[in-house]
Amino acid sequence: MSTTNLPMADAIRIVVSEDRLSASLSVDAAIAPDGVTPAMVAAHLRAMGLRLDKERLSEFASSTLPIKLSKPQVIIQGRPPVSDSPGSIELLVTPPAAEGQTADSHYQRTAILSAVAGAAIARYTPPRYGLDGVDVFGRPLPHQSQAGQQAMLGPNTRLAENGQTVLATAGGVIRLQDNRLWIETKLEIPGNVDFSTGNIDFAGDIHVHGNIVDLFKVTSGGNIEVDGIIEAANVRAGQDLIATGGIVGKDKGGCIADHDISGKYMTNAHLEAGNDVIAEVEISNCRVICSGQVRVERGTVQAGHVTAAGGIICQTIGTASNVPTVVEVGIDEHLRQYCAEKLKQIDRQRRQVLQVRQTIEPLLRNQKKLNPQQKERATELLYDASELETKTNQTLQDLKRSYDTMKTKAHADIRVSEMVHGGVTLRFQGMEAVVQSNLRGPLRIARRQTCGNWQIVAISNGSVLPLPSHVCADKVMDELNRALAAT
Amino acid sequence: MKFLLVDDSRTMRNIQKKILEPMGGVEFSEAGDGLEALTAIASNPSGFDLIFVDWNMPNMDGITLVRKIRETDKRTPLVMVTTEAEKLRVIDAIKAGVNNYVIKPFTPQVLTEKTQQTLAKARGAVAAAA
Repeated sequence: MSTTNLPMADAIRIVVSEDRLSASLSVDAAIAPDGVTPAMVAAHLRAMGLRLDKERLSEFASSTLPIKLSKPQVIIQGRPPVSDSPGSIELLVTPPAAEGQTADSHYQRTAILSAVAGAAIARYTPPRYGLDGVDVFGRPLPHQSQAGQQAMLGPNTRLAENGQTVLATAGGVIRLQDNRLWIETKLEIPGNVDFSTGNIDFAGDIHVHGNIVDLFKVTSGGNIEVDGIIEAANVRAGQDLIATGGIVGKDKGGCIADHDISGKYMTNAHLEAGNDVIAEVEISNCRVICSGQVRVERGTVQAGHVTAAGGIICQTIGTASNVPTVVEVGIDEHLRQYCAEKLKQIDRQRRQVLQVRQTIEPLLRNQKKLNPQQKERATELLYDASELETKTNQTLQDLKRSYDTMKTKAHADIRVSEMVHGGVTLRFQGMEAVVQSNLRGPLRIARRQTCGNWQIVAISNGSVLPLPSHVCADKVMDELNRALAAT
Repeated sequence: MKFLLVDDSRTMRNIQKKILEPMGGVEFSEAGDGLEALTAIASNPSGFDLIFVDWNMPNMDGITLVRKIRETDKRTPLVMVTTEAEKLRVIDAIKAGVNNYVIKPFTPQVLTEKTQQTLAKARGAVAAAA
């Protein structure tokens, strides 16, 4: 049969895609060389059961222009289904160990991922609910569900205003598990701090269930609790340091806490506490500096050098074998060290000022010989010298105030329940006494004024025994007074 | 109080500002030469409480600036801050209309004292006029 005898409707070819999301139209020019009408196309579509929206349909029906399409053209588009998505969390930080390290830094290798409060830690894509699609026949195309846990933000995290960046609201360890992100404010180390963990620097609390071994560094912005021993390591706590097993510094290790240091015993270590140092058994051969008290209520302070601004409470001081032991109370060693450092700075500044003035003065005596630029420069130098002098004097006054505050701790004392051995050196503000022979406790050792003279005395059962005391120069205080006199 | 600092050296203007800031309650404006100073004065209808003027500046020097200001304003206190120390220069400046004179190099104390003197005299003059 020739194509010219075929009905015009046969010229219309509509092909539906395999996924039923599109239908394409073409017109056989051999059968309908002048094209076909829109109404014919619309009728064909209806006969096939294809959906065409009413607006498009009325366009086809009312339009009289012939449609000539030698190549297929999509005339109906379905809507593809949208799958569910669990969302995702992509970390923005990597542990230091992941960044190339040299062989020298084995101590630095740590797999702990930590963040400080406010840090951006991840990019968040929220879960998405799926949507069924619609095919070209108007029938639904079901959506698929992707497997996986939904992305969720857990404790101590929040979304930034952009809705994508995740911020830490507290310092701690970053945990990402099963598409859930949270911050643990406490770091638990199940074993030792050693090469398996590397050095640790953590904003929150740390709990070490084992030991901290030699030469490692542990720093925390909060508390550090160690179930085992702190060996010759360097440990720094922003709050309390608890060494349940004790501290064995081996003359190398040091522990610093902004608040208390406590433990079973402490030997051969450097200890600095913003508040108290408390031991159960002994503090032996340590350098202790604390702004509060040293307390070894059932034990000994022996050998070493202990400075406790708030006083000492212990069972025994010193040893029967007269190993040198120095104990100081009412003295703020941190302030003393700070003061000594500042005084050096003040001295440098004063010499600088003197040098400037010595340079300018001859020039000022012969101002007529100076050109305008030199006169301006001289003004600048005079100003700089004056500024420096003002700053120096201000620093001195601040130091004096701090030292005056320290004097209020002059009443701090030493309380011993059993014995102070001979050979122990006792120091209070400006005074020192060496115990000549054993003093039996319970007793209190304090600084007292009698007949206008200050003395170190041992008070026991109401009786007062003066100890042979002598003035002990406080070099830093003397230097401070000299510096103040020069203002 | 509003002070205008006129000096072609920014360092010098900064020094004057730092020395006078401890007086408290002072707002500073700056100009690098006499022409800039006239612009600053024109755009500040409420006026300045004190104007510090350097002598040697480009475009318009200090003495010319003082004379220009005094053509229309006899009241605003003017302090010449300059390296010009010759007696004749000082006399010229006073004749032109400055109220006080500070010679560079000066110490912070000198500048502060002369400023306070000038302000006190100006307040006294205002009180007397009232």
